[in-house]
Amino acid sequence: MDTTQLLKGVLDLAVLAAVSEEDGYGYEVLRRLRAAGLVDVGDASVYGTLRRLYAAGALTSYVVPSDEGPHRKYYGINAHGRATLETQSKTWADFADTMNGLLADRIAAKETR
Amino acid sequence: MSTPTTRSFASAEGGTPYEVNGFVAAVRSHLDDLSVDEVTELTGGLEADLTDALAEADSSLSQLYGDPAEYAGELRAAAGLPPRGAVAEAPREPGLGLAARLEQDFIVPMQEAMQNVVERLDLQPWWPGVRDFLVAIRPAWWVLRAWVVVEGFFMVAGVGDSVVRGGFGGLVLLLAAIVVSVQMARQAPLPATWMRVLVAAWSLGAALLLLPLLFASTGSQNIISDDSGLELDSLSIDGEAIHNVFPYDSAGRPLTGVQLFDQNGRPLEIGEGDRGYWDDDTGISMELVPGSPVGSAPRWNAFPLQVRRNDAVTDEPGPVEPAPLPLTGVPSQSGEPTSTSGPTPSASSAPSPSATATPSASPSASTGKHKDDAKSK
Repeated sequence: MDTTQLLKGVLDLAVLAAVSEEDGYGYEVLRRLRAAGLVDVGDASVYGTLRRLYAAGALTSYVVPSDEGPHRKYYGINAHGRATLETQSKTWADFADTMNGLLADRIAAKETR
Repeated sequence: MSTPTTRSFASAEGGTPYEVNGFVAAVRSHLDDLSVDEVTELTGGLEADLTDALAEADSSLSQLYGDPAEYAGELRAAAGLPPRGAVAEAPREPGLGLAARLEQDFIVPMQEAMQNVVERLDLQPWWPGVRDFLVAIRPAWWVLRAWVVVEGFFMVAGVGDSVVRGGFGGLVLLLAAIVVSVQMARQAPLPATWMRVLVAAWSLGAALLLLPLLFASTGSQNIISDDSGLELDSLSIDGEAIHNVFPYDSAGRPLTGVQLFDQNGRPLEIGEGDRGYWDDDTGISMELVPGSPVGSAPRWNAFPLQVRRNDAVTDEPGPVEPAPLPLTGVPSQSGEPTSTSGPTPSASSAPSPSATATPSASPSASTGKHKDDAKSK
């Protein structure tokens, strides 16, 4: 199954979750998502999502100069972002429950056949 | 964060690998249909992210991400922006105003180009000092561009061709322009598209015209004095050329063959361009003929000059004759008008005695003086 299609629907939620504990710059957020198992997530998708969430007012942003490299743009969650994270987490949980239930019924039916 | 171990990449001054700079520049070029703000927002910090990605990978950026165009497309899609083309085409709908189209086609690309330059400059160690200096003298630029627009207006309108010579009105106009210029700069970013277009066009035009105008307005002093110098080559009164001079003696009798000189002994000659005129009343062109004693050059300073009437139709020269007197009588020194005993003035060239002061007032007053000068010489 192509997980990139699935990812598209939940990328906002995933990115919000990735910065909910600690602020991070683009590549850092990407690594957190990959470390969590979302290995197929694309760089540009994550960066674009960060920009969009920031533009939507769900994230704060600040630039940290670096001595040995270009400056890094950090993103952090704010109150609005946290509220969004809560709502979307619940939506996802309900959706996942529904899907799991559907698939469990199907699996059960297959086994009883 | 891992640091590159065996990998060593050529690095620009800011620590960004050239490969990353090139890739980010390519990505930006694929976003150039967006506004400067959007591009800045979308690609801010991208160098750092790509630098880190490159440091951890064992391949080149193009191997990692492929085509910058695809990367840019993914970036803008994830950011919720329309794909390239959708944005670029939309503003060209007929509903869009001229100002918005100008901004889209000229001003935004210009600002993006400047943005790119500034981003390059940000990497230079000497830049912050220069930038602070430039920021500090910005108000001077606001005043200068106001001056340029008013000066340019005066030059085009031909009114006194300078703010200074525009007098009080010019000063008021200049002050008004300065207020507008400074206020527009202080209110930036301006709310209306047409305002932004206007200010951008104003600034660009002023930047281009500043030096030429500076040269023109400082140089105009010389040009003006040259002009008046040229006019001094001929005799004139109230800006009108003098073609002939009619001296009268103290009794009010017309004199002939009076030579006139200035304070330096230079002959007061009728200018070369003024040695003929059009008689408005008769419609006959009059050619002036100087007295030319045998063996000497024509005396253009011996008055009154004789005239030759040219035929109105054939333009053939007629006989040389004394110039018709413009006045029928001139007051004697005692104040009594005396009838002229000279050649009968033609009706055409005899306006009412008091109408023109030309022959009687200044020239005749100075005649005596110059005659003395001539004698003493």
